[in-house]
Amino acid sequence: MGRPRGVRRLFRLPAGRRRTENEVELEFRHHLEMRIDELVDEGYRPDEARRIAEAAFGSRRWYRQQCVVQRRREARMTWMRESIGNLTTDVRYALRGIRKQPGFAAAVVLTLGLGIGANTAIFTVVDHLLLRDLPFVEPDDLYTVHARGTDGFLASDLPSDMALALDRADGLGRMYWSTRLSAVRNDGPEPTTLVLQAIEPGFTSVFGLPPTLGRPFNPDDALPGASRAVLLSHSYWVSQYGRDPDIVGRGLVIDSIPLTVVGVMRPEFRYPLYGATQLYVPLASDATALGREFARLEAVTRLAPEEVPGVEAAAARFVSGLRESLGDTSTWLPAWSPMNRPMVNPDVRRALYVSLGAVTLMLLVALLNGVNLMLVRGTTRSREIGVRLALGGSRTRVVAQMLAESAVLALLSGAAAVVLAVVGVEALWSMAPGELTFFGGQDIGVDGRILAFVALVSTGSGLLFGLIPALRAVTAAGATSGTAMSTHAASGRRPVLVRQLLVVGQVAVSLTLLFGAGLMGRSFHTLVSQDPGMDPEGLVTMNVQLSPGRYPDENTRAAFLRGVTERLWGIPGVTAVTVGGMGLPGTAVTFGDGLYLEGEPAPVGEGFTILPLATADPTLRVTLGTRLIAGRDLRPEDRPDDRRVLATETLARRLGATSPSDAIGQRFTLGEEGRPMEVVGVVEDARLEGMDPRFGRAAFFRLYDVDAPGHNLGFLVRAEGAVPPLREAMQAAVRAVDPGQPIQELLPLQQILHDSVQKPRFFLTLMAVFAGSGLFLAAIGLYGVLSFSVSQRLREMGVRLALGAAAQDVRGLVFRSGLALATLGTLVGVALALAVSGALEGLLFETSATDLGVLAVTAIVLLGAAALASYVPALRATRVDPVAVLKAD
Amino acid sequence: MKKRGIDLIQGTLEFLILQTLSSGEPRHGFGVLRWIRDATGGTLTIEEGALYPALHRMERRGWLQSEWGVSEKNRKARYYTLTEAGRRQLVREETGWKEYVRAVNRIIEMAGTA
Repeated sequence: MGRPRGVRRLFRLPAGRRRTENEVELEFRHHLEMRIDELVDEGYRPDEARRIAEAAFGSRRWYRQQCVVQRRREARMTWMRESIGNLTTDVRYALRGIRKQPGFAAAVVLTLGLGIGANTAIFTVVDHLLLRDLPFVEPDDLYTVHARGTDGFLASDLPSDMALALDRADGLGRMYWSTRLSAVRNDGPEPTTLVLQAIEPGFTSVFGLPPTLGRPFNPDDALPGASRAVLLSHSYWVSQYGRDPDIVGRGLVIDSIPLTVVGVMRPEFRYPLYGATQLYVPLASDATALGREFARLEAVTRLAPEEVPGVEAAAARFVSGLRESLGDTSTWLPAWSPMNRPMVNPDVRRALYVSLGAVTLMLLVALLNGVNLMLVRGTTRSREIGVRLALGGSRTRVVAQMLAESAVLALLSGAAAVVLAVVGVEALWSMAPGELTFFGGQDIGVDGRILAFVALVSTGSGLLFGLIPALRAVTAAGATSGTAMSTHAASGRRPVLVRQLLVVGQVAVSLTLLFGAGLMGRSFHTLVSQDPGMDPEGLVTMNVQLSPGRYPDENTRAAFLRGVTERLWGIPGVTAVTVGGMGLPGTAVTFGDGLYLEGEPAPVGEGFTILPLATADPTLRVTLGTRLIAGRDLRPEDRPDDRRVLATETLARRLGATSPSDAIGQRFTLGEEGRPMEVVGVVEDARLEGMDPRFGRAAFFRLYDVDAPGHNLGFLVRAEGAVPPLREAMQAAVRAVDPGQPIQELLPLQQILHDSVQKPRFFLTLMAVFAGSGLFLAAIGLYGVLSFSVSQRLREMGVRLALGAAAQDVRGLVFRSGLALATLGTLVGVALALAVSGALEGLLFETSATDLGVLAVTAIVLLGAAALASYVPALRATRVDPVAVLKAD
Repeated sequence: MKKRGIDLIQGTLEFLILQTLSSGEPRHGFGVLRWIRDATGGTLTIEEGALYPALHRMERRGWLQSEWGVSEKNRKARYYTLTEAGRRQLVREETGWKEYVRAVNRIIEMAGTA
């Protein structure tokens, strides 16, 4: 038989089949021998007797088998009956123990529940954002084609003239083209801006997800000028039509164009993957949709499975061919990237993994704490166990009973963890920066797989919790069973050492966590205490997109602009109004096409984007509160055609200026084309796009032609007084001019600044929570060990006091041993922290991952907490009444 | 396999085993068989091996208890005794059998008088 004997004995498994067979055979042999004797007595010859006896008995094999079946059934049943009986007793006993010491149970359940629950919550988020496959058919064959700028900047769309070349590319699958647009739905009670994706007809099948209702687009839908069909996204169908099953054939009006609903997409059909697309309209073969023509298109490609391995080579071949035909001057080249890959930026990915690492460290502290608690409890029970063993109790039963106790605790902790995880995920998601929720969508939750993971972790830790102390208690009690009756049995050196090591481990790990949180805190502080280069208070920015259908020419747009401006000035408390095109703070579109000095063939600098600010008001700088560093301001007599600009310091540096005044008179273009602009003044870096270090430092202010406005309009208003009434007044101003015009964005600049650090703030908060919990758990662990050792050494303390030791000496004895543990832990922790803090590199803003100042503060905080945790038990040690303790024995 | 006399059905065999052991004296399998044979004068016969699955089944049901012991001629044998549950079962079966026998008798008598 496969199982070693010890295991069978330990788990009291029924006797093996072979053994049962042998027993039955023995019984049969006895029967036959008796029968043969009888027959011989009657006068048969022995061989005859044997033959008759065997014939009378019948098939031995058959009956033996019958007997074995019965016997094994019996054995199994006895075993089960006994086990169930034992289990019930054990569980009942465990529950009684828990009721008797609710503090202990609560500590274990909280410790474990917190550790596992937080882990589950973070893991759910990581899984949701980073690990899960796209819900598409064969998602690994799908690629997106990006445009990569010479500065490495990736844009999601390509110039549409590149589409022709791409459609002919070899080994790169079939391209599916689409583009994003926003349009106004004007058949409802209020005009609303919708996000649409114009997709070529075949696109409806690229993910292998046909519409859930109605039909996909067909080639007729995409005949130029014929586009009247529209597909609803699933969420739009749900939110706007309440899942109306008769939606197909209904009409809706977009940009004043009447459209007919031909179908509803599946909920899994998400394109683009991020952001919410409400409607899909057909993209005609001449790159038009809804009467608009698109200069840039996005592409998705589905490769044949055999093309996937060679995609990089094929792409490289294609790109080099393209470069040859275009010459080296092209600023954009296509780049392929697998679609079934997390969308979040690498820094967020890193931050997520760091959080997962941090929460795992916290779980480690929690587990160490749990083992420690159980060990302490095991030791306090060693006397009871000793008695039981001495009275002939089986070791197995003792271990089983302690396991039952930890199993019950593990179950409770698991339940606590699940509750915490479910609540935690919701809280995390509501707190999470837009960048996470944007990519993750709303359908996040703790699912079955993850619950199974929780069950596994809590059962595993429960076993660990129970088994170590149980085995320890049994061996310790066994070794000292002769003296089991002594109160001081089993408080030997080794268990104490183990507990001390556990505390050292806890301190070390929580120091690492704390250091991480400290680094992120310092980084965050540096980030938000940057000079914003402006005075955001009282500034509100508003962005309006006029639809080409309703505002076809410059005159109508200029009239709208004038009307709104006039009304904005009429709002009480308003001290400044600036209007501009695409490009007032918060509404600006960053520009990544490369910056060219006049006359230079190649762009200057790499890897940055530029923020062009167009203002009708030459004094925008003053309105913003941005300082002029060199040169002059824009003046009322400057004209938009003069193309005179104010550059920020960063832009001036990009233009090659060594000092701000050096940049005055520099002439540059955005992209290769166009008349150059001339720098007349240099201003400090205004953080108009927020504090995110990646964006918005290279910017320039230029004049905007209010008589020939485009479709994107920006308004910047400064007012004295509270912001909310100002926002409403601004909305009212737009409504008064055109009740049918929606507002795209209306934001106080302070909110832009605040939101721009949402991401680091979120991860800092996470880190702080984990580090705080870790510190708390470590402190509890230290406190527990010291309290326990004090209670074990009460006699010694009593003797010391009785022999005339001063209270402070006794106190110092305990206090010092606590601090010694903490110091050791801190030393180990410093090494550990410095070894792993490199993981934070890239998440820190102008802060070194080995910042010694932060490390010092961390160590001090930790030692302070340790001192506090040691002081209470130390105090208790001196409250010993020597007489009482000595009498107690 | 040739057989003489009345074949025993399972329930009957169990009843006989319970009867055999009701004296309280532990018996091994062959002992049980010998007692049944002697008590019925050899009219009730079974294939001898069939006794054993019955014994083991009855032990599983908790009616019998078994223990290894040493038999006459110093042979190792498994001895069966009746448990409390076995005794109760015997009473139940006895009542059942008596009623059955009474009923069968009445039918035979009725057939005789007709």
